[in-house]
Amino acid sequence: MPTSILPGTLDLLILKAVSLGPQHGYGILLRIEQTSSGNLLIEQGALYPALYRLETQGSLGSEWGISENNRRAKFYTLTPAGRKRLKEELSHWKQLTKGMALALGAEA
Amino acid sequence: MREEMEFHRAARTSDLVDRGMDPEEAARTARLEFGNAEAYREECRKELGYRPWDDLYADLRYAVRILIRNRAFTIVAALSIGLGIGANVTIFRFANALLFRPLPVADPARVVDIFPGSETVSYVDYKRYRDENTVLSGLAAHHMLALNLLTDRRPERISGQIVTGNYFEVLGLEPAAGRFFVPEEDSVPLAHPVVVLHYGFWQRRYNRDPAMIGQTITLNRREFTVIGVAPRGFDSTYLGMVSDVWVPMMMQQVVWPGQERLTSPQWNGLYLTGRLKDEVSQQTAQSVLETVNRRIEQDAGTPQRGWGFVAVETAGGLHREIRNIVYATFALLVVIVELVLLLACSNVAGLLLAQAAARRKEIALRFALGASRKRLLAQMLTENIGLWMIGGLVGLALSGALTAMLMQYTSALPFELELGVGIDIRVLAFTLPLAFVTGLAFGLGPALQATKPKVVEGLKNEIVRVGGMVRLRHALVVGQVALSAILLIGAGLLVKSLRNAYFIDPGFDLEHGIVVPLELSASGYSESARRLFYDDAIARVSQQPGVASVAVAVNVPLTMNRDEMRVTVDSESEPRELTLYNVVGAGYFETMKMPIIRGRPLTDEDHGGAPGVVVINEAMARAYWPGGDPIGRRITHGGPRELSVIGIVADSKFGSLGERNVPMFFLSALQYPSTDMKLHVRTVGDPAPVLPMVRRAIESMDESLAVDASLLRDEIGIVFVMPRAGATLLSLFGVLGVLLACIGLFGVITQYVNQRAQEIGVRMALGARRREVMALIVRRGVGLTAVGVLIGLPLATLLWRLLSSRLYGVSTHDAVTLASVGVLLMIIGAVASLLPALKASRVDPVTVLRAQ
Repeated sequence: MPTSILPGTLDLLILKAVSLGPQHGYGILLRIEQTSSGNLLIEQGALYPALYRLETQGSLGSEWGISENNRRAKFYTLTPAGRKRLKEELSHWKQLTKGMALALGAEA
Repeated sequence: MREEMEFHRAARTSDLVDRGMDPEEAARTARLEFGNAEAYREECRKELGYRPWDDLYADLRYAVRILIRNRAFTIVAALSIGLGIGANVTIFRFANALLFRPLPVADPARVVDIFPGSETVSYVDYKRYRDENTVLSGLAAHHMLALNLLTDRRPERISGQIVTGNYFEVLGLEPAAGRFFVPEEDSVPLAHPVVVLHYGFWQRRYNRDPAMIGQTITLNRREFTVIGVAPRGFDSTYLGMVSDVWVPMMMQQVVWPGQERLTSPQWNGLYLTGRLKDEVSQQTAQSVLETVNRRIEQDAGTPQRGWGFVAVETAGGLHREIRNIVYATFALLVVIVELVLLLACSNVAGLLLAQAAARRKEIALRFALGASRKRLLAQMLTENIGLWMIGGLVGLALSGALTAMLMQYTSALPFELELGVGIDIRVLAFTLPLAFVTGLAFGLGPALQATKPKVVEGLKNEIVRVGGMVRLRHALVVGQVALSAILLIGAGLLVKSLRNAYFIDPGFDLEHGIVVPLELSASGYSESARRLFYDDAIARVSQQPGVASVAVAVNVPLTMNRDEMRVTVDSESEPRELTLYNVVGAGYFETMKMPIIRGRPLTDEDHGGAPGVVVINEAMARAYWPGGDPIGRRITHGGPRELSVIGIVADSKFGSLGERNVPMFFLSALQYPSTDMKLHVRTVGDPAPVLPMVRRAIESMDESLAVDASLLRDEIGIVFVMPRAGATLLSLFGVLGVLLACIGLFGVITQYVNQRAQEIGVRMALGARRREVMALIVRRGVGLTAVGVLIGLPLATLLWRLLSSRLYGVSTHDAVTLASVGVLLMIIGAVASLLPALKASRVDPVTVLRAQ
């Protein structure tokens, strides 16, 4: 059963997905589902406010292009600022999970 | 955004179909999976920072709906604000026309007006300023005067400027037709009677006929050859003043008669305008010109205190003679229009407060639906500012009517006044922010009040009648009355002050005067012939019915013609500063109704063979012989005569109505024969019907004379234009203020009484009689008004005392104003409570109770 993502982690997931190459919104969604092997459940519509937020903050760039099935779609790319942010948040996340795992593991 | 999400859904659908789902089912699932697209879109817009704009758009739409729904309220409020803003815009339009206009000449920033300490200079001194400075590429002198244009024996007054030959060259102007003056035309007195026409004058009168160049026109009974036309749009170097013609300085004896001004350093009156050389600042020019000025003074042997100073100003401003009065009028107008605006806005704010009470259900509902206070506040504020913006547009329209009305006053001027008072970008840039800011300032209070959560909370329960609410309403009524009292008293005092200042007694009889310039020297009369002519003219005119008194004098007061000279008092070693004087004949003081305070007036006995005499005014007595008795004292002026003071005449205005009384003296026409004098006539009653008889009497003496007689009050019209327009405007705004205060007060009291309708119903249901109920309400309304008046009057006295230095001849304890404002407010209070009380007492008590 897929589980809902933790609040605040959607941005990180999006950045990671886009870092693999330019993609449109639906593609990003699929990518996250694939890479998480279907373990994460994302509210599909909620993706877009997050995308707009990241774009406004300068982490993502975007341009209109043609999708694989020949429709106009907006493709997102990672900006240098976004790449830097992804790196920071990744290390932050790793530290957090490591700490969490240790702390929770010790309890068990 | 929509397209992007649409793509998402389509892609999802096709994926689901690929996985073997029924297409319809797939579309539904895709939609479900996506969630609430509308909400997400809104969130996206928020992320993009669009949210405030979206809110504003919604607020604006809502505001428009509300304002349209409350049509009557909107119209009343917008009109009220419109009046306030319209008054401000009108004043601004005049200020805009008067303050922000460069001269239509080449490089106007380098053209400067130059005022030596004496303000005007003689032609002799002009030449020295021109030749001895190193900072100007050119210096011209000029003087504005009224001329007599004769067309087919029909005389007509036009305005003109006598200018030095280099005038147009200094200004860097190119003629629209013909040419400007050449140096020869301004080198020998009376040799070249030539004239340059104003473009508008050429167009109006001669239909822009190019053949006019080379033709002659008759000015002051002398033929002048038209040599050119000034460029379109150039009126003169004075703001708003139009010169119809320009005549070279050498024609002075014809166009500016009375004195030989070209050779004598005594006769001042020329204004200087020059062009700064490149790279020369006004400061540098000033110090260089001051050096020249000191040299001139030293050579004249009459160094004067404070005389080294030379003012250098960018040209194109108001003429100095009227500048001060214009500025003073403007200052007072600004004060009063701000008062009107304040009153209008506070009225509307009061109405909004009352309206907020009426809208409490709506607001409570919106709170209940989860609107935040911030959002509600923003929405109310949008509504209020919208209201003010409508008011601003109304004001813009109203100012058009006001401006047109005021411009009519300028038709009384001897000079044509051309002001650009239209609506331009600056007027808009003034009006719209004014509306916005006042809307914000006065709309915020009511909006805050309306959205107070506590109030709304309390109001959900309709039956609350807490003591606090009643007290608040009472306070509102009392406050409005007090504020109205302050503003009304202020407006009253200001209007009264202006009336005092402007309908000020000029010190001579203005209403019964006729002036007839007798241009005898141009007709070849010798000095002795002129003297006989004057005597004969006085005798003949005196016999006309309706004539009370006749005399001759050189200068007419308040006409911008003035003569000044330096005089030495008693045996002092140095002369005093320039002192104003006039040369007058016997009976002058009697004719002008200027009372002799001490001593005796000038008479026919004070002729050339008699001892030199002078009559001085009170201001001169005070200034030159402080504490002493001037009668019998002596003054000299460098001439052969020593003059002894024989009389003191009461002060009168000479330069401008607004001036402080300045020292002035009067010489005997028999001892100081001047080229041309003017006949002054005082009539018993209205001078207008006497005027043609006076003209005919003079014409019968010499058929060849074109006699241009005019009423004294027309002659000096220019001095009255600004003040009269200003006083009219002020009275108008004062009335407007009273009206606004009444409406506001009426509204607040009516509102108060209406809100007590329930109580009335209850009382009547309990058996109270109509009369008792009405008496109760009226008593309460009047009582509250009285409290407001009692608070307002002392407060007003206190506040306006701060302004008292700006008030002319009005005490802030002016009992009449105070009392009338108090009475007026009490009457309004009574009427305002009586009408709704009447209405309320007719209400069927059952209906009211049922409404509960």
